[in-house]
Amino acid sequence: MGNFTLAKQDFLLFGPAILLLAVLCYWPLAWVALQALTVKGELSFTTIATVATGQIFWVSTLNTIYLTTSVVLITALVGYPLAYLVSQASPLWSYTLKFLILFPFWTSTLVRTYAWVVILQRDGLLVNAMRMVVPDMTPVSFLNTRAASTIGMVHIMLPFFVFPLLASMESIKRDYLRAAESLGAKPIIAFWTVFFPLSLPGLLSSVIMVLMLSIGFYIIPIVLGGGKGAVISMVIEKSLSLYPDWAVASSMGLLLLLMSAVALTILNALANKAQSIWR
Amino acid sequence: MLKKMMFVAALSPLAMTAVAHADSITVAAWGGSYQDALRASFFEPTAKELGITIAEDNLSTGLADIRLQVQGKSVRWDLVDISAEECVAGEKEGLFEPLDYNIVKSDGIDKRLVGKSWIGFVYYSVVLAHNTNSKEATPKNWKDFFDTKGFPGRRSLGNFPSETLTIAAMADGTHVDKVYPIDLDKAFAKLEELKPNITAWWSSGTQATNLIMDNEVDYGSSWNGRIATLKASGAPVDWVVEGGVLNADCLVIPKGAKNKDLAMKALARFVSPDLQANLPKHAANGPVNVKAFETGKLTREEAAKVISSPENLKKQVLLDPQFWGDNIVGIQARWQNLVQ
Amino acid sequence: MKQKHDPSVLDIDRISVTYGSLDVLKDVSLAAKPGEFISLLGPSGSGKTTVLMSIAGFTKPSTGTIAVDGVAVNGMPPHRRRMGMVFQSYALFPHMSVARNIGYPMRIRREAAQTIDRKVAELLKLVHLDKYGDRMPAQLSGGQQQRVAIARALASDPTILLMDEPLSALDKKLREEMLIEIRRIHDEFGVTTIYVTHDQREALTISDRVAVMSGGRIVQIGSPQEIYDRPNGRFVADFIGEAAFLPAQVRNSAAFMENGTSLDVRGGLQDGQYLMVVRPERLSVVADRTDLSPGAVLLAGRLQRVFFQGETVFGTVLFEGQEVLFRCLNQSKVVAALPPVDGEILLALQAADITLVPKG
Ligand SMILES: Nc1ncnc2c1ncn2[C@@H]1O[C@H](COP(=O)(O)OP(=O)(O)OP(=O)(O)O)[C@@H](O)[C@H]1O
Ligand SMILES: [Mg+2]
Repeated sequence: MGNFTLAKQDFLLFGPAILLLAVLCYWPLAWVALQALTVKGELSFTTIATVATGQIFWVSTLNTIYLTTSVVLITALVGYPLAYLVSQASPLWSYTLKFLILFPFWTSTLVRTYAWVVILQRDGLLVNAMRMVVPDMTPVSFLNTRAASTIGMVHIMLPFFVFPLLASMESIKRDYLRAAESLGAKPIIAFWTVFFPLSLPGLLSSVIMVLMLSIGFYIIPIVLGGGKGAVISMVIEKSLSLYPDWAVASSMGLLLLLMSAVALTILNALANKAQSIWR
Repeated sequence: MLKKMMFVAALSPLAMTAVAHADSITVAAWGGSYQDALRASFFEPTAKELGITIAEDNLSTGLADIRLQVQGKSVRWDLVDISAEECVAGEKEGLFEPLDYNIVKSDGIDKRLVGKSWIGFVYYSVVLAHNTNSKEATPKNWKDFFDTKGFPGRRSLGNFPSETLTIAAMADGTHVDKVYPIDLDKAFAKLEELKPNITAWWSSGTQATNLIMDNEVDYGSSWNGRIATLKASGAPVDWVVEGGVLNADCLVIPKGAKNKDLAMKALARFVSPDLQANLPKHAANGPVNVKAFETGKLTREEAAKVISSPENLKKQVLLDPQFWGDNIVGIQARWQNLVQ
Repeated sequence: MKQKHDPSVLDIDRISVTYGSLDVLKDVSLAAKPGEFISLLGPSGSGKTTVLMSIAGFTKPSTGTIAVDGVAVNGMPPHRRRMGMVFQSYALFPHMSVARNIGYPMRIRREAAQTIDRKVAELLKLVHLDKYGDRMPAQLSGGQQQRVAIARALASDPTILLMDEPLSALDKKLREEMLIEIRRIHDEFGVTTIYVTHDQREALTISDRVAVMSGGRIVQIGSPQEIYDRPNGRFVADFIGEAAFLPAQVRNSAAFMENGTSLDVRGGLQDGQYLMVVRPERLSVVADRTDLSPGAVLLAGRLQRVFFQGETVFGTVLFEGQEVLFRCLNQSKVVAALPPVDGEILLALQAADITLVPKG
């Protein structure tokens, strides 16, 4: 929206960062595109077309969409109220809660994933806890289901969701809510008409963050999901060892990138639309 | 994927200087206790005999690692342990140096595991295992395993088409000698039928054994090594050798390896009967060379326990690398559909 | 304070607010008549905002009652109190256009769309922003935002309008314009207004009454004239306008300066130590000691410095070891009569201008 022009001295400032980005991000990306779109040095869309029309790609893509969508939704349902709570808490509570949310970050994803195995498996902690209420419960397992994958991923994703959102919530002045209330709005109305719309940009960045991270998830669907419902990252990994060149894996990567871009555009449009309701 | 590439790119100049010694080779295998066993059985004796240094490295994905080095013209490894299926695929792509069978003696190794540019190295087996605390009746073979009426328990199978389809080919009680060539349509149909009873498609050995040990499933396929170790440590698990799917790892010299002559000599030693006979002392894996059982290094009782002893070989089916090298790409879509 | 026959719109009766061990408000009482414009004036931290927040319902006093139109509102949540609040930061909703902001309280009440549109247009006109309805708050200047905030507060049809230092973010010139504007809007609407400021000029200019606050208490409340002319203590005299304080005492109901000069003070003062409040503009330069009207006090000191300030001349005089300020009109006759620096100067304070406040 704002006008942004780069002067020479600005480039001195941003130059290294842009260079780093170019080397670490755009160069490998260009390489992937090259692998996907050339056959023996000639431009060719056959590989990408074959992949894009193949069943594996679509089955795993649908699995991925299903999984990431449920992860994003559940993370949002848990994370938004949590972030709200932290943003409204007294400084001491706010620090405590932030610490508690960040705390699991200090252990590796793998360890946390196996912790869920211990909880969800047959005769696991969850079942034992339920036995305290229903002593003669038949043993059940929550492991090796899509729900287990989803729970595990939500757990990992929660801090990634809460913190960007929290940053934007904390920048919403308390006076806005007070103003709304003094103008006759019940707290709940003040929340929906003022706080929520103002938190939308933060919500959007959190959703994007979680979406992008969950698309690449690999370990959790394997360990907690029992390998059922292969996600795109598993398929890309498989095709790396299966095919003699990088073309197939690169094509999948490229298509995935494309779909992510589409998802982002849609999300962005939705958020803009949502905000313009109040304008 | 990108990360891996950048990582390799960043490391390669370093690695090249490290391996530049004339009488040193670098061997890559799968790490962990498996590599410890290889070191004790093969690397250390060979290094001593030939008076060379054997440096070690770990694979991350397998054939793709070699492909990356060969295509990137920065080959860091001289000798690599990958699966037999991958050997067949890699040979087709021309990723390996041809083996010199004047130096490497292949007697005593199954002909199906001897290629132009690769040779079998060690055996392991995917066997039928079960939880001994399970209230369900115990399946004795794969035919039982596929009988969901007689054996209604929860099951797990590997998320690996070659092994699992080989198992499915025995669903009717087909004799191990008659499994290959596999009728893939039939095998897929069997698995499709069994699918509702499958709790998990495992992706790693740990996962396979944990599923059984934690009673997540009543029975399932599992790698023999891990399940044997668990049983020995008192876990409530057991397994049968009958119908095991024998799988081989093989050795290759990547095309353009810096020390390929030395690697050839080391490879010859690795597959020789006397060093092969060392393996059972250090791992649950078995020698590929049956002559290892004639060296006198293993007692009768010891030999009987080895997964690839002549007795046990007769009870199991060898996963035919050639068959899978030819078929794996074609069935990938069907497989994804099945486990999905 | 409370007058039986003159109903108060707002009646604050001895409220106290504490945060932990900190007493932020102590026994604050304040009553406002319908249509009255009252300023809360005091230094930073004196509790002005807290009074406003208590009226609006965002802060709960630990003791005392607040009544609006004779009804106690202590337990009433803010959204039911009908207080139009103008925040120091304006608190315009950044995601809503100016028109949406102003229409907000009416939309909350679910008024008909046409009614809202009409009222919004009227309010925009009232604050001279007719053409700005579609703008976003960020696209307005500070003064414009401030007017939108007032319009929005008025749109909620408030019983009382509460303003917390609404001009503090504006530059001096704009402040003066806006001050007049606020008073104009007030007069047009006739809504009872409590206006918080720490700027005494603002308070004196705009208010019907000024309540001076210090340390969580209201120390004096009265019309601007009263507050200025008859401060009830050194704090108010000092905080409002400029003043020098000369020691004085009352013995047997007679007042004297320290040098023995008798002071003509009406109204019985108790015996004790006092300070005479000497405001610069109340002093006049006289040519000789005999040139005094009855009851006037003569201060003979040494002229220290003279400052020309355009329409006035301002000087400092050393009188019995204390600095006294005087101000006079910049007329050639007056200026010509000033002695040279360090020379003796005679200043006269008229009897009517003598104000004593208790010492300490
Ligand atoms: N939430 C709070 N917790 C603790 N102390 C507070 C709180 N709010 C205000 N105070 C204290 O109460 C006192 C009065 O604050 P208040 O904001 O009412 O002053 P003010 O007169 O409006 O000052 P200013 O002119 O700076 O706005 C101050 O000492 C302040 O530090
Ligand atoms: Mg304040």
